[in-house]
Amino acid sequence: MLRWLLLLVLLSAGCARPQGVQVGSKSFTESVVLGEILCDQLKMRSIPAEHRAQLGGTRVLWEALLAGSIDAYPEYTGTLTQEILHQPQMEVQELRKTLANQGVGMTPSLGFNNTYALGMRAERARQLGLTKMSQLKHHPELRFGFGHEFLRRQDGWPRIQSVYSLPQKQVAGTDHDLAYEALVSGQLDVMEVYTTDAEIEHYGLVLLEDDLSAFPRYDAVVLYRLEKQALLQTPLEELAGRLDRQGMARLNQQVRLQQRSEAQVAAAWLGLDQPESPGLGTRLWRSTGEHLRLVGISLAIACLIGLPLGMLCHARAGVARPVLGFVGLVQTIPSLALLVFLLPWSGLGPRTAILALSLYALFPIVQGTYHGLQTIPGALRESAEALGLSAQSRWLRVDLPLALPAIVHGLQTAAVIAVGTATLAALIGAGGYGEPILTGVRLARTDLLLEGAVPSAVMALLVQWAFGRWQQSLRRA
Amino acid sequence: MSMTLLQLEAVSKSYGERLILDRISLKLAPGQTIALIGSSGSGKSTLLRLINGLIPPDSGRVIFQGRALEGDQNYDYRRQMGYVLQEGGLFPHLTIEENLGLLARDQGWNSRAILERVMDLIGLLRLPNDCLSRYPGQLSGGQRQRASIARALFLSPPLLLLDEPLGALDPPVRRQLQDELKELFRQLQCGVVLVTHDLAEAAHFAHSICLLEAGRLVDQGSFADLVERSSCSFQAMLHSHRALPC
Repeated sequence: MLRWLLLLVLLSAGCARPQGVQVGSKSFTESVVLGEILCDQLKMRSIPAEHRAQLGGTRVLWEALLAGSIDAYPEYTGTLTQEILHQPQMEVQELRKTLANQGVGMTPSLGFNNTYALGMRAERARQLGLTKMSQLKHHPELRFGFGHEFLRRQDGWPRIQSVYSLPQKQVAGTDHDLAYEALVSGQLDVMEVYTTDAEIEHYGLVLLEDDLSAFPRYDAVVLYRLEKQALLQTPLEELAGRLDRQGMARLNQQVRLQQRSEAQVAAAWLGLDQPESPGLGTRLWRSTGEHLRLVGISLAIACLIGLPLGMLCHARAGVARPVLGFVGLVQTIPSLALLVFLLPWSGLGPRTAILALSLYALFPIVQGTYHGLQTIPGALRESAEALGLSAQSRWLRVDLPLALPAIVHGLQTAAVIAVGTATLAALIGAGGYGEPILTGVRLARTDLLLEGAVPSAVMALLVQWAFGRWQQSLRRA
Repeated sequence: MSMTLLQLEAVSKSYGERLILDRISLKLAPGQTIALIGSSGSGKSTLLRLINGLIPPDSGRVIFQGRALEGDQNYDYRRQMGYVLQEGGLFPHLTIEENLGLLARDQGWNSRAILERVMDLIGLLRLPNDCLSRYPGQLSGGQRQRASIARALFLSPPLLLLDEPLGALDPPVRRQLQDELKELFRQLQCGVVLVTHDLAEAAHFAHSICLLEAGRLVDQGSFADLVERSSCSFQAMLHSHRALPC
């Protein structure tokens, strides 16, 4: 078993350290495209940069920026005032000052405002002569369909309903992507869109003007750490004002509907040579390596902690209950919550993922070790003692080998859990099979989903099989 | 040199309120066999553990080769005694060869010396050569007991402690092993403390039989002595055994 542990630790030696400016992006297409653009822009100014793509939601990126895990990421002014600072009325100047107090710099707007808008089929809008939202109150017969979040949000439906005194009664809550289908097929007349949605141009929708300014502004900006101001401010501000709403929508469309990679789209927009996107084999090879490293290192760590803990539980009767209770409790923390919880301490990337995975692997290992040692028949213990074997020999040649099948069983459970849970590591930029899954979910592309899900399932089965074989070989007697 | 290999001086042991052994005294000369006989719960296995130093006595002394047993880290002391449990106590994860050589390996013997001794012992206990690479679970009950006795004899201990070593065997196998072992003990000239609940077995092996009853040594002597004295305890023991030897 020691050999296995060594192998796992050796694998960990290959774990890459981040180099250059770390650019982050959230888990949706526009953010990833912008992240690529920021990265390319920095590289064009000879600043080495690395894109930590689709790291998760606002909270993750903001904490990562404050903690210095990333140096810059694209954000929206509305998100800053509403979600992060909780001061919806804040003006841009004040916002800039508040951010500076936290060591964060903000570029001027990149040139577009990605806010909510109400969209209609062009033909239907023309038919009714609609161009502005204030005209909607004269058409109570219109059927509205909104995303569930928009229906609830204070700056969503409740706000426009009161600002524009809207009388419509037919308001359906629906999934955002399905709403497009319903709108195009004529089952809905009006839906909410993000102004840079790729589908707007694709389906030829018109957006009604928010003439009473009911929606907050969500100007796209870049946030960066002020300690790197000298390096980052100039190249990032060069991007200001260069990307308008239609331009951004087109970039989104190229990724979402034409299935080009974000890197290609970003490079094309900046006029750079378009990078070759790596083939399936290369991608699989890379994600398999990352996934194996995550699982291997975390299992090794969990063994180093879990085995002695299990032994301690066995040796000291009073310790077993609290220790098993605690590691069992850790097991019940939802993985996403644990990742976000660990983020401020250990930052983005494999480190946090490995820490979380190790914590999850602890319970089966501690329990397996404890159970294995507890169930050694008393006659065999007595036999070892009566022979006159030294305490060390008894431990190494009798107790541990006899407990080994149960320990390996615990390891098997831990490993299978780790392989599955490691797919979530992509949320915090740790790579692995989760990355294609995340991209697949984001772009609604089954091929990418399968590219992550299938090898992850195969790896889980292989791990199960391998540990099963190991157990079998131990059950000779 | 003292002619006493093992001596118990008024040894008592209780677990909580329960008195398991009550002032037991006995002596064993080298090459002699003592059988401890009694119903279950009479304290005979506890007495064996106590001799082996697995548990300390509450009062009294265990003296082995002139040295009183002290403390509970008695590895050296235990290596001077071979110990065989009813089920043999062979380790299921080790082959017979590994089981036999375990203690010698712990003592730093080289593998050549170990192998030589292993071959001697399987010859002595009439085990087939091919059993060496097998695991205990792959042997018959009789072979397992032979192997565990071989393991107990590995370091040529002057004393053997046998806790119902033949108890789990079928009668024919058992009878054969009894004959062989008696001859073996005579050849090796080692002292033997044999725990059994079978009077016939005790009579077969032992120079001296100790009758235990609820932790007390109620009668002691050769089988002939016991028959002659015919104490109440011995009568009771006889009644519980339908078949007598000879």
